[in-house]
Amino acid sequence: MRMKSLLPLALLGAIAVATTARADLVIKITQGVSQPTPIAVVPFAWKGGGSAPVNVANVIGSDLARSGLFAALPVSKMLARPSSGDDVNFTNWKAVNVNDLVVGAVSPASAGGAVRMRFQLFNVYTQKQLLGYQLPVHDGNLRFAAHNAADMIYQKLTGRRGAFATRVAYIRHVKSTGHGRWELIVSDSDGADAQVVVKAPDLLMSPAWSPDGSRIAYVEFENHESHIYVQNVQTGQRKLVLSHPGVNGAPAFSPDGHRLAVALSTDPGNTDIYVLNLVSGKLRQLTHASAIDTEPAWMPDGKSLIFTSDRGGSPQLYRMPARSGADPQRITWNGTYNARASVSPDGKSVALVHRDNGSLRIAVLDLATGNIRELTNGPSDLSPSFAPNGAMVLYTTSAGGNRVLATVSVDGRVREQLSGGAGALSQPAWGPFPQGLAATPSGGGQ
Amino acid sequence: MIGAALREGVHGARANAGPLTLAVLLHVVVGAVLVLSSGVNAANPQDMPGPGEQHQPIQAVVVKNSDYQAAQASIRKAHQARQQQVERLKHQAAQARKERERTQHELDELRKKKESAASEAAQQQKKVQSQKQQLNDLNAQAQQVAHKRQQVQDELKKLKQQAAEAEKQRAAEQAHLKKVRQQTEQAKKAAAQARKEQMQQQMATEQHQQLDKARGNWVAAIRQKVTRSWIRPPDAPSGLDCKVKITQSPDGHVEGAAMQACNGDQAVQQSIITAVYKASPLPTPDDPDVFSRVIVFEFAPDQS
Repeated sequence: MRMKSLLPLALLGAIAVATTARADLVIKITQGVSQPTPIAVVPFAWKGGGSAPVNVANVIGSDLARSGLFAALPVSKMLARPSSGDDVNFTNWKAVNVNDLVVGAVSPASAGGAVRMRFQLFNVYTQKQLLGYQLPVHDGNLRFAAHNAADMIYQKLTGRRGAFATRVAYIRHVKSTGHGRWELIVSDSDGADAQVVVKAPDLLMSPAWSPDGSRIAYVEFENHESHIYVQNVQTGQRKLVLSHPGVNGAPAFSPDGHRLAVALSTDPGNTDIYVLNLVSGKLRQLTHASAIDTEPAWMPDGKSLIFTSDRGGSPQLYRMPARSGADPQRITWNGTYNARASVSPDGKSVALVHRDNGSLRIAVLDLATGNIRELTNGPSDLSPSFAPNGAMVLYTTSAGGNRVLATVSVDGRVREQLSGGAGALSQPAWGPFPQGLAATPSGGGQ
Repeated sequence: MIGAALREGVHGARANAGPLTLAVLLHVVVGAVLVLSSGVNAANPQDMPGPGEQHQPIQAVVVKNSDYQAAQASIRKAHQARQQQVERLKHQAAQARKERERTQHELDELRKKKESAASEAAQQQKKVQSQKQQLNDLNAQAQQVAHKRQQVQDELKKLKQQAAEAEKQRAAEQAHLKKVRQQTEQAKKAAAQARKEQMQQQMATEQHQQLDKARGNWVAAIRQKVTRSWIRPPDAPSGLDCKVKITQSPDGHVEGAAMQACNGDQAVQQSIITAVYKASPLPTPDDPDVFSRVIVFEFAPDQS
């Protein structure tokens, strides 16, 4: 009896659902806003005595903001400062109009234990935890742990791998007695934690990362002779790989790390592209033009090389097969000066120096269309280098009468100078993703 | 009395003698008569008295003695006989004349009769002719009349036909008229119905339009708020198409959101879910009838 009376109702319900499904009001959203996602990174609680050695929240917020995709809420605007999800009142964060919220805490090394960092990411509107991690801080490098957290947050919210916990290499020229000194420096991607890797009384040039980030190739002048070295970043051991008479320049590791493309010449006015096999030591000449062919850059598949050449009268980018070097094809047709290629990780675009109206700017060439899109305003922006996630480009620019490092997001929306200490900075190279960094989920809002 | 006898004698003579005898006799008589008449002034046939008159001269002659008397008596007797003969002849002649006259008369009569007959016949003929003529005329008239009648009949027939035709036509027209009237009626009815329906429809349409307008305004307001709430990730693939189904409270608070189909990654989906929650409370419609608890948002930035 009861079943009987319920059955029609159930059927009715099914019909109603079906009807609703058909008659759903559909509203099409064809636009969104193009603005940084507002995020609040609440200062992390410091579980130790005194004050925290690193403002982790600030590192994370700065990283995210530098990407151009996030706007970090200033601490002064926060209505509360929870350090755990349990303490979060989402109304406070809706009130300040942020989409996402990061809270966390750092525990100092306990007896025999490492420093630990815990953080949680919440969506303010769904009130759901998106991330919850407890990270061991290697070597007490809390700053790098913060970059790692930023990467995780970035990846969670953008779908793209973050590249904050990466290192960059660049040359610093410090003016002192004589013509000063040169340093090859490796720092965090935000310019912090700068470490001098090579010091030289003479010119240092063209640092280039090996694909695994363990080695850096660079050019060092000794007695006015240029030499190409490959140096282990960790150990500092270096190896001279090329020391031909004349010019030895512009080294670039192949994607497999076994070869080095270089520009060589006995005549500075007629460099050519060569590929040196680092295993066999064999050198193969790829270009033979009576022009300056230099600044080789590998395509991610390692099958072709893009380089700068003035064979057409002005410096332009050309592309040729990495194996034979046959028949290079010009790929830049817009502007009188396009040089210093840095190929994006996906191989779809090339960052370059583009001269426009006498102003040197960082631009991105779309390899499929040939379109060149300027990212910076100049007037003297040089040496672009793609971040390993392709989201930003590192370059040098002039600021306050000095040469500094800067990053620009690939949409050109956010440009930010990096802290880099004194001296003229040049020729930055953004290193690869770190290898095998571990992070363990903390299992929720602990 | 004598006349009667003469007449009788002639008759007898004629009856007793042959025709030749009669003819000779007649001549003799006639000669005698002529002789006598010279002396006696023979009576002019024209002056012959009628049957009642007496001839006097004969009585004036007188005869003497017995011989004489006897002669006389014989002469007298002969005379008397001749007299009688003459008388008889006279009588006979008179008779003949009379006969001739009678014959003539009869002839005349006959002629007259004939003439009369002829005349009569002519008259008859004429009459017949006339009658014939009349007949002809009559015939002609009759013919004419017949013709006329025919004509009239024809005319009549024609008129009848025309009348029939007219009747037919009238009937047809009537039928047509009826049909037209019916059609008109139907059309009127249909028009009225249509008008009614149109009015209903118009009312419905107006209601619809009002509802549509209200819905349109509402949808536009929601779309605007959601659009402003959605920060499109830069890595969102081109051709992004994501449907998120939300339920809202009557005051527009988003109570739940579920991604239905999406070709974007988790970050894109997160951005969309965030957008619909961030847009909460959604604008409410002016007309509660258009409100829908369930809304499907289709995020398709590359479609327009």
